[in-house]
Amino acid sequence: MKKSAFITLLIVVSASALAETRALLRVSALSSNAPSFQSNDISHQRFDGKHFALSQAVIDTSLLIGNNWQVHAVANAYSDGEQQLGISQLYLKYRPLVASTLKPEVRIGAFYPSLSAENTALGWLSPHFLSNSAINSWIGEELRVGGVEASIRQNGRQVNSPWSWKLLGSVFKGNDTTGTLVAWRGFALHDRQSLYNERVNFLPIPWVVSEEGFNAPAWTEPFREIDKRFGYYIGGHAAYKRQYEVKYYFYDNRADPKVLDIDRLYAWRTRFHSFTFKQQPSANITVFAQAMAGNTIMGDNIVNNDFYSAFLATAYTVGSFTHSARVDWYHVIDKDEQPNDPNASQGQAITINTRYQINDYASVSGEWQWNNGRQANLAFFQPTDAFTENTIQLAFTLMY
Amino acid sequence: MRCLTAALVNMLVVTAVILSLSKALADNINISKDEISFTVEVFDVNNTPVKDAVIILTPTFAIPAQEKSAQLAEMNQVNKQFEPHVLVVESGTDIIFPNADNLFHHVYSFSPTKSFELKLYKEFTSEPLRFDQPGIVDIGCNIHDWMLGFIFVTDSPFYTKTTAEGNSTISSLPKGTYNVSFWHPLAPQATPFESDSLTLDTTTSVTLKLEQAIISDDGFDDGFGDY
Repeated sequence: MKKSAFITLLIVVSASALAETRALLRVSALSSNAPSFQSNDISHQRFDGKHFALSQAVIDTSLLIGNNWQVHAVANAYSDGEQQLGISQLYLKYRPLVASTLKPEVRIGAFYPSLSAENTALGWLSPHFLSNSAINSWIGEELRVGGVEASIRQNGRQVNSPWSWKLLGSVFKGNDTTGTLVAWRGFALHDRQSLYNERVNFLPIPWVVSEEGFNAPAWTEPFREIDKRFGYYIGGHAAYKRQYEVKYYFYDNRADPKVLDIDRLYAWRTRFHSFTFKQQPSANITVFAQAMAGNTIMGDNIVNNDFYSAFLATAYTVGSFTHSARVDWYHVIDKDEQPNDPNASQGQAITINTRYQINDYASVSGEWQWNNGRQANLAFFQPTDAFTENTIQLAFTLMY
Repeated sequence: MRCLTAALVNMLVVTAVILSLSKALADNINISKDEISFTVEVFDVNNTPVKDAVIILTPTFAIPAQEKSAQLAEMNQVNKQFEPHVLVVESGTDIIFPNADNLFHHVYSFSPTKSFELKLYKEFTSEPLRFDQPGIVDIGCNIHDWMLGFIFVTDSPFYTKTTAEGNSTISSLPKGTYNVSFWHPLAPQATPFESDSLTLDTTTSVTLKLEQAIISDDGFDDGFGDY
């Protein structure tokens, strides 16, 4: 009830003259050959079978408050998942007008670190693909900060230099279970962002969920606070004109992996480095890539995994068509010695997308994704640990 | 006799009036003959035409005072860019700042020549601002750091800005000696004229060569965040 009231208020505020609001509605016809993790099943796809879905409904609004403050909110609705309506971002932004070319900004609330190479459209969507890369599918699922981020930036154009840059740091809470899905479900490839207070399901690995075993639920709640400790991240962006951009982030949730809560959700100590590259040789060609290396620990060495992932993508616009292609790679190395909970996985994926822009507001896109790999814990559910997933999606998008 | 004298005086007066009218007419013809045009072409070190170069000719002689009518100029915001990138106006001009985008802009300048701040809602035009002081006003947007524009305010009525082809012409220029100045946002220190003054007796074309490369940076701004 509170949530509906809040979203109604958000819609009213979005229509105000002081609000800068964008909205998107996407319906998809889908075909996927494997049952989804969202149904506690084996695939790494958001959808399964053949059906229609409300794959995205987003209101993304910024409301000006005085000269220097904005409230930014993103509300989402989906036809799938444990929660169909909710908030994915809500924060205050302080961006004062200062005479210096070194300019500060502060964000306070619930938001993404800006580490993605691809999620640059409204509501943290990708302008090029229907699904996100393995890295950013995971970020969208399990990573949001509830905290403060402060940054300082300089735009090169203002100082007659080709280089623009930004340095930032954040302290946060509410991101303690991050890492659960990498270890127990493995990397996935989709565009389903977790909403606040939402549960994300995964395969019920026998030892993990059994009362005689670890007795944990086959779901996680990504933004739950468990150990009351602060985490932090630091980052840096550098851009050469509007042609190249690199970003580096180091994230550490500083969770105490031995603390668990009443639902038997543990705090997972998760740290990673993220490196992003983007090149725009012209307005109609984009090349972008991202690499991540990290580690997650849960319990008394019950889970100790290193994880790595990378992708390379390109998008080319010709007339009303945009053609995009992405290659993903991911690898989870199981370093703990818990034989009943094998976490190792590795795989690769190819995603091909073509979008036709009908007019300023409407587009249709088709996307095919092939995801192939091995995941040790799948052997509990099928004769082999190997998997090959094929998903075809035809989407109609309205955007304002 | 008295009548004859009066008739002679009248004739002299008429003659004088006719002569003075003829002289005035001749002077007018001379003034129009004294107007020339001045064309400038600007290339960078790679022989690429340079757009948005500002050339100011300041006369060293008195020009007839003209009653200034209120002038109005426009600095628009289109696709997260100032349009034009460089605007040259005579001092005393009023400038309006329309926002053609369906986005907020927060336009500002901290330049000593003109300091101001305008919050521009979607598709909104603010009240005009008057630019009285000569100088260069660099303007930005606090929401979109990449947006950068320049307003060049000059006391001289004789100015121009090069086109995308790197050339431009000042027409209806009185003959005489002028102090010349050059400015480009990416080459603010460049002095491509051979001397600070030019005597212009006839229609003149000059080609200026910069000693550096000018690579336009006013292209797209999508996908690079807010810095």
